[in-house]
Amino acid sequence: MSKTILEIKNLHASVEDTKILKGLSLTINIGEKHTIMGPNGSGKSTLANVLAGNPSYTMNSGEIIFMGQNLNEMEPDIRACAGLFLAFQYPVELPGVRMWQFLKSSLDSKREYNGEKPLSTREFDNVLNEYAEKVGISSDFIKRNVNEGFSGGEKKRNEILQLSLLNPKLAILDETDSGLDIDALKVVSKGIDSFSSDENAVLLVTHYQRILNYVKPDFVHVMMDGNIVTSGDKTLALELEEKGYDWLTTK
Amino acid sequence: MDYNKTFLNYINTIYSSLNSEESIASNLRNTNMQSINQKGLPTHRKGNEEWKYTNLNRMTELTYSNDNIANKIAYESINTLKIDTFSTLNISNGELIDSNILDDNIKIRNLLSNTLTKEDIAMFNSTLDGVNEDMAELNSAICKDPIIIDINNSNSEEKSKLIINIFNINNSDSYILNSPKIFINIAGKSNVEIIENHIGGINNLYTSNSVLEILLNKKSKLVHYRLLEDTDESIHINTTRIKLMDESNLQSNAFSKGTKLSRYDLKVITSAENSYSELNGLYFTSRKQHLDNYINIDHIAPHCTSRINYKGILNDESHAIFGGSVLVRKGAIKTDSLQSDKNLVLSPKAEIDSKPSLYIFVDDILAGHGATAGNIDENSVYYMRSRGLSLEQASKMLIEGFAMEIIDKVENNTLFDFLLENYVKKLPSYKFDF
Repeated sequence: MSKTILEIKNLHASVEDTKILKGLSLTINIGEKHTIMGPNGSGKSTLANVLAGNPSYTMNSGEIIFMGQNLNEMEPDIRACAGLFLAFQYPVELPGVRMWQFLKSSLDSKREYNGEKPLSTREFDNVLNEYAEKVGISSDFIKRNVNEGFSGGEKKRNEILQLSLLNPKLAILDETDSGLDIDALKVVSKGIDSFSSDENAVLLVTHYQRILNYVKPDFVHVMMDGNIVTSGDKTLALELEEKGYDWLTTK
Repeated sequence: MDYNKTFLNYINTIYSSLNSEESIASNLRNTNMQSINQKGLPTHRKGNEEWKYTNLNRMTELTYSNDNIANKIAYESINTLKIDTFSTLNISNGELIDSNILDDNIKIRNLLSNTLTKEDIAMFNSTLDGVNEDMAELNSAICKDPIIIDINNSNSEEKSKLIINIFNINNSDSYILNSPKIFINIAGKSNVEIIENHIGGINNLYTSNSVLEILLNKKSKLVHYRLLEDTDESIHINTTRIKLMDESNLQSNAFSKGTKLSRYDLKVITSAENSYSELNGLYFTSRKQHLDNYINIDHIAPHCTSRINYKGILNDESHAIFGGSVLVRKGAIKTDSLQSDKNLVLSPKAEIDSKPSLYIFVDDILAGHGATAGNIDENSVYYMRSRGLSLEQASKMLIEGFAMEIIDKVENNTLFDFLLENYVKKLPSYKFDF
């Protein structure tokens, strides 16, 4: 297998006729952790949503190759089954949809796509309980409706639970750290850290340097006005923390 | 052609055939027949808010026959909800045909078995107030077998549990009209669970115009389930009146599948202080069905709480209505009332008219109401698809989830499973017009 998981070439994308991404290119190889930082409105979340296949976003031109396949031709559920995962900035509440049923169906879909049999109820419960414990989600939550009445921190933990369960090739985390208190941030960071291995890759979209104290990126990219303006290693994040983004605009 | 006139002629024929018998109910029928002949049937005309969206032509234009004898053999073949721990009452084409009462605290009297007294007859229509109750009057004019159910388990630890099956059987090609009439008197401090199950023979043609009156005496508690399982081609009209005395507690749960025309006219009357009522409803319509919920609460006494929570799922070219009002009268201080109707409209040709209303004639109360209608939430579908669920799977889970909010209120496990099997699993799997 090729070592490249994701290759974005000259990507232009828009939402409701507003052009957001303007010729972005990025390559992510297996085993790498990338971070995208940037001010509000620079297009970070747009990139995450275009990759996951959000129907509200339109890809105008360019190319995205994920695991050797043309991503733009794949429905969002096929992207997920093929190993792409997006942890949402605002996880959606699903009234009346039980967590257990949702998680089981998600994993079953992915297994079916890979030609595997669905797990039995007992097998699934064992796996689920193990991961739920790791991210600090109690078994009571599993009986509840998806994200309904969950606190901000609980929703984010739930995203990490789904990440662990679905074990994707590429995990995109869209501001998963925002709105978290320090304890929740540690749990979430630990979740990302224990997921990350030399068999997958992480793309962490964030506003703050804070989470990078826990999740150490190999590459830091800075986005402004729909494009990556500079890339570096984690020292770039520290520099941004100190100087802000303004110095880049005048660069 | 004046369908109403033809229909009223038909009613008068039934009335005459009933009154040729010597019956203690003749007075009840006579008074109501006169009233109907004088007023006629409710019309669809402008300004008649109660019937604004429902045209009874769908009922009157049909061809009727007068052959609605109770058919004992036929109803036994109908597969429906059975729960071992519940007493059962079987009504077929408006007549009490048999019962299996497991509980000494449930007593039944009816006209055709000559067990009904004149005092009993006086109980009927006592919870009605005659305002917009034309269909109840029609029922009273030609009811064959008024039934009284007395339940008193105030000295028992056990709940009294009863299934009332209202069967409609007709093997002919013309419609029949059935007029079941039931009065349930729940004694003070009693604790009762009742399942009212409306059902018909497969593909049978009939109009069922039923009246149910319930009196909840002081400190009594009732969990009431109403299942509308009438046939596709049937007309279902039901008037239910529930009177709440001091500190009584009502949970009413109505599960309705659409028919050619159905109307559920429910009014809860808070006659004395500190009652609690919760009215939950779930309705599904498809094809060209027409379903009208007319749900009312009349707050008369102070310190009463009421909750209305209805949800509808509409498909194809069906039409559903949520109407009715919460009325808070002058003396009803410290009333606490909430009224909500939410709809999932899965087809551009389906129509919902949701119009909850609130009339307040006193200060110092808490009240709110709201209505919504829309398709499946696109963002929810995207979230689910991003976890690997197909479009069909995601939308099916969301539609079921919408229904589950009401079904989750059912504490009876057998009934819960019945609803999953007969309602939730039969929901349309998906529809998209994004």
